[in-house]
Amino acid sequence: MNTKQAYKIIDAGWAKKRAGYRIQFQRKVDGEIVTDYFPDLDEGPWLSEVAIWRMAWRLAESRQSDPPDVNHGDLINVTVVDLEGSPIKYYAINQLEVFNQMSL
Amino acid sequence: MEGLAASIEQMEKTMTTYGREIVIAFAVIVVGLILIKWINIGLKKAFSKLPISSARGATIRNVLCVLMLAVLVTFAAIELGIAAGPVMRFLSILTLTAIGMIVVFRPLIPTLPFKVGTTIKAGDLLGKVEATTVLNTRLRTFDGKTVFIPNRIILNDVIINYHFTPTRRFELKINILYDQDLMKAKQILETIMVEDPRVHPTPRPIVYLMSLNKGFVELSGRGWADNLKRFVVTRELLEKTKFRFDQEGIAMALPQMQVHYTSKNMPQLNTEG
Repeated sequence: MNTKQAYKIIDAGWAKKRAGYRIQFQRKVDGEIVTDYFPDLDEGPWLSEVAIWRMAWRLAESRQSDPPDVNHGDLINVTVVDLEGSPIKYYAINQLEVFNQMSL
Repeated sequence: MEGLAASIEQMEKTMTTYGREIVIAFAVIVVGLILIKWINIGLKKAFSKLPISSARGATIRNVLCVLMLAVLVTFAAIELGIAAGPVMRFLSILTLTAIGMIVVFRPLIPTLPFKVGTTIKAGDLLGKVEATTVLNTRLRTFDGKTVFIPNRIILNDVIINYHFTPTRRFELKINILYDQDLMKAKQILETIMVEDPRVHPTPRPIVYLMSLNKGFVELSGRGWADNLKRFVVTRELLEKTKFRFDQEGIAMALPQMQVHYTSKNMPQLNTEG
């Protein structure tokens, strides 16, 4: 095994470089709860984990729901996902975090 | 008095013979200059929508303006009754002489080590170059100040141009106490750098132990990022490192000094009230 092959294994198995981040949230549209993303899926993702979590918190704080009701404009289950849509751990607590969490 | 009368008479003759041509040539020059100005404004607007730098756009516009001016002078000369051949030859000689002078003397002309739009550090000033003139350079600092720096100072000082290389190394300086888990701290620091999408994969991020003799273990995480993102990347990685060290129970250290007393120089502690 040469150096290149060794690093290939390391890059695939340990501390994978992330490609970007999106905020995933849910809201009520025409009476239905839909999942949406920020930035939109046709736009480029954010590359800063710190900035995207801060943005998620701001969004959640701005449009809080009044459980158990979800009103028009409320943003619930706000979290940060990678480009595959998998939730990522909030770096500040090293755990998955969902703002305005509500089970539907 | 006779001289004046003769001059007037001569002018009358000239105007009678060439008056029409002079007026037409003058009109051609005036209309041509206005047209060139309009075209220049139009080109400026058009270039602003194209993906070319403002400096390059200005150069292209200047070259086009000079060419249009040459054509205009030729037209005016033809209207004046001068043969086109000599005018063209004169303009060609003039152009070639100018190009030759530029080629020969350009290396000798002191030039500023940056262009408009470049981020530079001149002395203690860090900012973006907004404009350069023959006498000074206009710099906009990142806290919003506009600074005019005389070019003679710039030519005599050390200038850092942040646009020569697209990437730059960043450094995360972290200090931990002697009794902390060094390997764990190194692994966390490296992982944080490797995971970040803005940190370049090559050269690979690496963590060094810089020193042990300052009262703490001095670690330095080093990686490469785009020049324009380096500041933010460094600050955000530091923030993430602080949180991760807290979560993993690694105590960071402040600069400190240990003082050892012997029995001879032991200070008397005042234990009374």
